[in-house]
Amino acid sequence: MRTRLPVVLLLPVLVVLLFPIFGWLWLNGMQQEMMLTRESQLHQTTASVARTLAMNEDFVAVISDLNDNAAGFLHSTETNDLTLDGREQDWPDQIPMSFSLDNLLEIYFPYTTDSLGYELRVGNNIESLFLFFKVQDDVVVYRQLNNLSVHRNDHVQVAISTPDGSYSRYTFATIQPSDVTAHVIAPGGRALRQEPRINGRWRATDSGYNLEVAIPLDLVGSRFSATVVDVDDETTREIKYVMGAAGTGDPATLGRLILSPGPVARAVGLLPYEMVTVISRDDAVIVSSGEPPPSDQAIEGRAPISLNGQQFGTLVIRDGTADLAELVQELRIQLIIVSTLVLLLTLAAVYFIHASIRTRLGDIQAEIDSLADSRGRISALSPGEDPKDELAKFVTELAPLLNRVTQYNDYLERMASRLNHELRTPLSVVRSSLENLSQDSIPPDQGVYIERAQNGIQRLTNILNKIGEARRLEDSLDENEVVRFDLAEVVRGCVSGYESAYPEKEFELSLEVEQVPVTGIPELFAQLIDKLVDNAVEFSDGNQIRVRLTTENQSAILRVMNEGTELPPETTERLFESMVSFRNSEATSHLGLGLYVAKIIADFHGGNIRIANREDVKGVLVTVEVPLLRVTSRLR
Amino acid sequence: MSYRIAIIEDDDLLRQNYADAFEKSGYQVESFAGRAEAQNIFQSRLPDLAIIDIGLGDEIDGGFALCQWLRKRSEQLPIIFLSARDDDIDIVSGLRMGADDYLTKDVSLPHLVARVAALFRRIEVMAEPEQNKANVLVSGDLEIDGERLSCHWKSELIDLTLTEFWIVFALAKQPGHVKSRDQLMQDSQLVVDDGTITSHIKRIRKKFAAVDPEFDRIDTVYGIGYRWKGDS
Repeated sequence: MRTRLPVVLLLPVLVVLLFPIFGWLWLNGMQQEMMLTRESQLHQTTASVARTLAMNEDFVAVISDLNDNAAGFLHSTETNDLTLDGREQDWPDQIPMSFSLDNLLEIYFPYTTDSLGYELRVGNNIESLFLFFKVQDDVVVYRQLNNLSVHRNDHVQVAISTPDGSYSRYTFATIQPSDVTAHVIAPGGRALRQEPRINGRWRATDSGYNLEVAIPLDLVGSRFSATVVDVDDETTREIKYVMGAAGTGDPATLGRLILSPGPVARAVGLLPYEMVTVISRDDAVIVSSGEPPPSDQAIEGRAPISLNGQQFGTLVIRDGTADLAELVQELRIQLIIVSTLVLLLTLAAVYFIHASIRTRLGDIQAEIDSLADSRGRISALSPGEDPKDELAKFVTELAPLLNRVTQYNDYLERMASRLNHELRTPLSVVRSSLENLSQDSIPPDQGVYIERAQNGIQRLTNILNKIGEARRLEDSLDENEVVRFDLAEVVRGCVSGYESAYPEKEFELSLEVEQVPVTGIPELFAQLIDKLVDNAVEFSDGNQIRVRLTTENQSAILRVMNEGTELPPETTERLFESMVSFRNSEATSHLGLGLYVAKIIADFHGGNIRIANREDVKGVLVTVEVPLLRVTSRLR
Repeated sequence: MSYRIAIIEDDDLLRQNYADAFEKSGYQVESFAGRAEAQNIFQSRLPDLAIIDIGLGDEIDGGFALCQWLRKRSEQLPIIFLSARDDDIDIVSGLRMGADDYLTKDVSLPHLVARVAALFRRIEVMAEPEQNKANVLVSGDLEIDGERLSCHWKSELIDLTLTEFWIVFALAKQPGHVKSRDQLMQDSQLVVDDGTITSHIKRIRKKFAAVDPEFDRIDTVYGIGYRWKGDS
């Protein structure tokens, strides 16, 4: 049996399919919702961090100090303890600040690119501020040994504010590449003394010189400027260029130095966001930590840092939402896995339900099929156990219906018998009246009518007998009378009987086998053959009626063939039903019981009967097939 | 003295027709529509022969009850069931109650009258001293008396109904000769279908087999009829 899920049963599967779709849409909605929540949280957090920062005195001190000058910022990089050797390989990898033409603060000679340029690296650890100047200079002029001035040669000047707010200026110059110590410079420009705490190393290079210095942090405030001063002529020792971000002469023009990690950077670096930035009042970045998140997922919070109505800057927090996307992605995968499992389970369940319904329906079908026997009689429904489910209940509820059908069937069967019975008495009245009448002397010209009436009575009686025949036949289907007999002998006997009964017909008997042992009731089988031959004779146009008996595959096959009217198509099965006849109602009465009787007998013998039009000539062929002697027969 | 026949039949017209026919044949007829009135009369005087319908008015099996009632009063009284019912079960029950014959209403009046005459003839012959063996047929173990309507197999009486007797008589008269069903029907003055002859033969065989389990003299010639196998 082919298994096919009815469409109706797929509906639950479709419903289950809706869940992942709804889930997906819900997750998308949830993601957006969470983004919005994140964003608003970020705004709140930013605002509250900004307030906290504004209340931090150190932070405010630094930031307000940084704010009051227009010059640029100098961000210090956090470093390890560096060796003052004039080499840059122990510096962290970072892009140094470059100074060239644009940064010329003073020019006393025409400038060419070759004449001066430098890179500056700034770094600090918790003890010192480190500076590394990588100066490109075509001619390096060192300080003269006997000259007091430190400024009539190539030198580097650094100005820084001190933590207490005062201002110091240092010059680094050397008579030859070596360790150097800073000279403290008076406001007038004169070198006052050496500052032994500030040391460095001057190193000659192919393109100029490197200067690496370390300044203890307790000398360092938040302001810083550095200039490189170029002297190229050994004899005149005139200053040609001063190059730097801002001049060192005026404390007010110093640039801003932001140490790392510094109070501001420390404050913002601790925040658990991907990128935190503090922007000054004039939109310059004061401090920034972290890397900017990918722009498509970034959310941003912005809050002013202000105290007592005065704004120092703006706090900008950028955060990625990759974790959120990741979470949603994970949920999606889980959704798909769970949905697939549920779908599979549902499919399995639907399949199981379908299979069990099928099985149950099959059982019920078999049960219902078994209710009617081959003759269409309905046997009583077996009283089932307590109905297990609706289907069983349905079958149980069929019982009253079947009982009614059975009753109706019984009624019809009794009806035939009652009709038979009831008609007989009035028929006898007519017959006996006629017989009484015929005994008296009546005019001979009237006698013919009595004869006709008697003829009619006889025909009516025959009809009644035929009606009763099928019923009496069923009564005589007694398994106890089943014997083994030779079908060939019965057929032979019958045919020789027909030869005398129907002298006008020519019977052609062909028996291929001498003996055809079967089990059954020979008289009944003879009756079957009677019916077939009776029909064959009545339908026959020609003279010849052929009767053939053969054996094939453990079956005895009896064929009765006549020539004559063919059967209307698609009627062959119905012909075996009671009272079905397709005969033109001409001559004798015909009730259509002959083939019905034949079928009852064939069934009783465990065989079957078929009727068809002949293929060789115009005519009808009836085939009866019964099993040869059953080994397990109920022979007595 | 003419015989007195009782007809118990609930259909007035039919009963009257039967009565007329028998009266014309010279019998006295008493006719009753129901069991009660018949028993009322029979209490004081039994008829010489009773023809009983099985269904009597409201009593579906009133005829059976009447038959049993009569049998209790007389072993010899000839009783004929005349019914519209032709089921084997009715025929068997009727005969088991001791009826001499069971006829369906298909039987023609002349046939019915002939049966009645035959039964009376038997009574007359039985009354005579056993000397007239003119109509006695002896064939091997079978001895059949056409006058007394009696049949013996191996000297044992086979209790046959009139119909059965006539069938056996027809067959045994010409041993080895196949009698078709039609011929048997004519000889036994029956108007029935083939199936009825078959059941008569079946009953006859049983009655013989009750006396002689080896009995196999009635041969079926399929499609044709039956024959009495003579002694080989």
